[in-house]
Amino acid sequence: MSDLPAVSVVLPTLNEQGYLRDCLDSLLAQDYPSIREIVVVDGGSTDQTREIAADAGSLVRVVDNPRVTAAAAMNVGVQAAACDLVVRADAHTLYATDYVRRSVEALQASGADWVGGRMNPVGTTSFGRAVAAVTSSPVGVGPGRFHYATQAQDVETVYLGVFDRRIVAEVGGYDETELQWAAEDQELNYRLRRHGRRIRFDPQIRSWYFPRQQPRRLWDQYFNYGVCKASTLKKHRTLPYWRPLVPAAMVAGSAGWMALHLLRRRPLTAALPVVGYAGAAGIVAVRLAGDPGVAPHRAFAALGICHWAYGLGFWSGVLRILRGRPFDSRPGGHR
Amino acid sequence: MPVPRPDRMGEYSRKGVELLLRLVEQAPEHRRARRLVAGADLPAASGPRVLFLCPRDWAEHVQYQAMIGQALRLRGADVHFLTCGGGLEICDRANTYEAPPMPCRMCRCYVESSLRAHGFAPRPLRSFDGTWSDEPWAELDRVSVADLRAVRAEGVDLGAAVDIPVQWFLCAADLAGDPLAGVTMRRFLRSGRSIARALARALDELRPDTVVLLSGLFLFEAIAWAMCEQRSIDVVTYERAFLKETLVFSRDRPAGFYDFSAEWAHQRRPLEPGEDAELDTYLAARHQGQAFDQFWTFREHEVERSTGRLVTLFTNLTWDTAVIGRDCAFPDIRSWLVAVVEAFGERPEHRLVIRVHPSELHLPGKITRDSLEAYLDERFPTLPSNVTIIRSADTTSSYPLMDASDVGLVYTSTTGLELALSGTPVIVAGDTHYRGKGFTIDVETPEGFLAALDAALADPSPLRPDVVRAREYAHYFFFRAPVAAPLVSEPLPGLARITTTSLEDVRPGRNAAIDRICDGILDGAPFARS
Repeated sequence: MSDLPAVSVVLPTLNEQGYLRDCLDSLLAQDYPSIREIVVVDGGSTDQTREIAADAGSLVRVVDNPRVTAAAAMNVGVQAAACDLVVRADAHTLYATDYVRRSVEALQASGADWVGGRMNPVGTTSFGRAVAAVTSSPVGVGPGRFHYATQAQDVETVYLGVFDRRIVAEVGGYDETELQWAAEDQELNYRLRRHGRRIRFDPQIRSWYFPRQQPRRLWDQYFNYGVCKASTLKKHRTLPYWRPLVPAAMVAGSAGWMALHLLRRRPLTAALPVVGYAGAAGIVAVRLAGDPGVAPHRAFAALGICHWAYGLGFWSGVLRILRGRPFDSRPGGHR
Repeated sequence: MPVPRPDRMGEYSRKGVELLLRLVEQAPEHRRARRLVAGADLPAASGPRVLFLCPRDWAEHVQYQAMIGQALRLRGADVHFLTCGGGLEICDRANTYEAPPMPCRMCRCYVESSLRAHGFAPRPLRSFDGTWSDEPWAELDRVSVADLRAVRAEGVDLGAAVDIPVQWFLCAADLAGDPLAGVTMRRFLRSGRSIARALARALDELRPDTVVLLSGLFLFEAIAWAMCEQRSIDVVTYERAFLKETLVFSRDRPAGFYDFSAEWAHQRRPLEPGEDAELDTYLAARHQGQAFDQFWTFREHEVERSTGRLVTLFTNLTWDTAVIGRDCAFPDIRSWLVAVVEAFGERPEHRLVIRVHPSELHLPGKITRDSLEAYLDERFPTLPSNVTIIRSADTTSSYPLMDASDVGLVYTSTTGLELALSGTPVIVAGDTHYRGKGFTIDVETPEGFLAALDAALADPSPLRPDVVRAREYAHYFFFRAPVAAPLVSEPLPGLARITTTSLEDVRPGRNAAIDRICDGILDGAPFARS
């Protein structure tokens, strides 16, 4: 155990009062003896986030993030970290007591450059449980294998993860300016892979993530994810992987079909894509409702929101590119 | 999604229709209650003031309380009802598979309409507190999960009061590794603070002589219990007993513990012939799965006998109130399980069969989230070769296994009492209701447990229980301590029927069970039959 290297945990925050205490407790309970510090990088919280972090003990250090965003927070945190080995954390997540240890062990054992574990979504409301079921399913969330894979493997991107900060510096750090906010992790992983770095997924690295628990918030989140993809497309003239475009194609195809048939005054035929989608989503929703506490109608709603919001978000981002408008690097439409 | 059972479609339909009827206040019990009151001559209140706390739409409890309220009213009591009023962030009306948000609209509607149908004027708790459920409690977010149990508010140990409700809600007792623990506990504390605040005002305004509570262990009731204690208000609690449509009542301690130690000390007596037969009939019914909702089939477990003893261990649900806080020989039920498995690893000549409680998996809508079966699998990837687990998914009856056992091990499971009744030595590790009654081997320490186990394995004969004493206790527990439900039946779980057409049937001297309940509440008379 003493051979294990020292790590810094970097935790971006912005008004995380409701989650931070439990998150920090789970990080402080790690069985890894060489956690040097937990760097809370705060983007100017107006709630009790900073006080909670300050109360959490001497291992926790609060650093200001004047540029507010998560991408900036990671750049600030990686710079401020005392150790080269950095664990990227998230305040909406709780960590198994062996999270850091298994992450470092997997990093060393696999020879990969970035290792992360499975994102286990936890619903805390009836709708949240449906969201958790949908976002644990390949049908619900696309190619991010950290949502559902059960075997260790090299992947395109992971949730959070542990890495040597020097590789981040190699590729210029997290992108704070060109991307839509929330696109930073996947885009960085994409650049790393283009530089020949390996990203590794290991299901034994366990954490629990609290996804959006309300339909409106889920819609906003997935719409933004769609915009994120467009911003990545604009930056790289390509996408790390193309399967996320399935919802975008579904939106475009449905809109085209409907417009065509409405123009020909065939309303029933025009409704076919929606009816077809509803049928397919209904079957998936019933299967997802096999999880205890997941109601099929809520799973159906969550599935529809994830797909349609994502697809519409992507086209909204494309429209933004065509109009020459910049993407929002901060939530709330502020650059 | 659970697949609806074809053989229960009639039941589902009936429940669905009744739920709709409840929304328009036309359920059978609504109509019957209105009819009762319409023809009744109710005296003016001149006696003690009795306050019922009736916050949830658990139909049978609403009707139990309403009928007891009617009987008390006919004895001159001044009867009041406090309901919830809805709008709390969380409560134990539902569990983590169903909520939040809570089904408040439907719940409140049934409770209040039922009590109004009985002619009472229910007062919602939310009407006593203008900030009901709305006031933020930012300080809670700074408290770690481990310290939430020590939170106090409104003069009440709220953390302790919500402990059992949180575990019950989460269907889990091991909250240390549960990602839902913090968020759920804080929600319960916020709701609990609203309840405490409103209850304080309600108790100060209504000044009851006696408060009647269900169980005494649930969210509203645990808080009410603590507040009544502070104000020296007499509290009576009740809970459903083991026999269908019977209740147990208790004063000064939660009825949910089924603890009759004080009464048993002076109620013990030899059984009369009729009582012997009554007990035998009931035990036979349990043996055949006819005494409760059964979900298992009856065939014998194929247990591999060795030359040594066959020992069976029966687990509990970890989040059952029969287990929470009932530790004595071990810190918790998990430590006990580990100690037992390790002990048998060192005693390979004997055989241990662990029967995991089938309700871990089969309790409708309440699948256990911290299963002891999963814990055993994780803790012992390879079990000692002489240890067998009968898993919760196995719906084979446990009774043939009990019959074949040389020794039984329980934490607090009622199977321990049944083992003793069949003459099998039972080592009890937890603080169950039949502990210390003279027919079980009650251990106080891990070392004491191992010593008792070794003695039983060496020769169980001298440790055989005093079956006569066990039968006396069992008869008291199953038959004499409980009281028949007050003219309310439960045709299906969740449905309630009032079984009388006239309030004359609850007047003094007309129904022995109701007289016992009323005398117990009003005069402090014993609830149990002697």
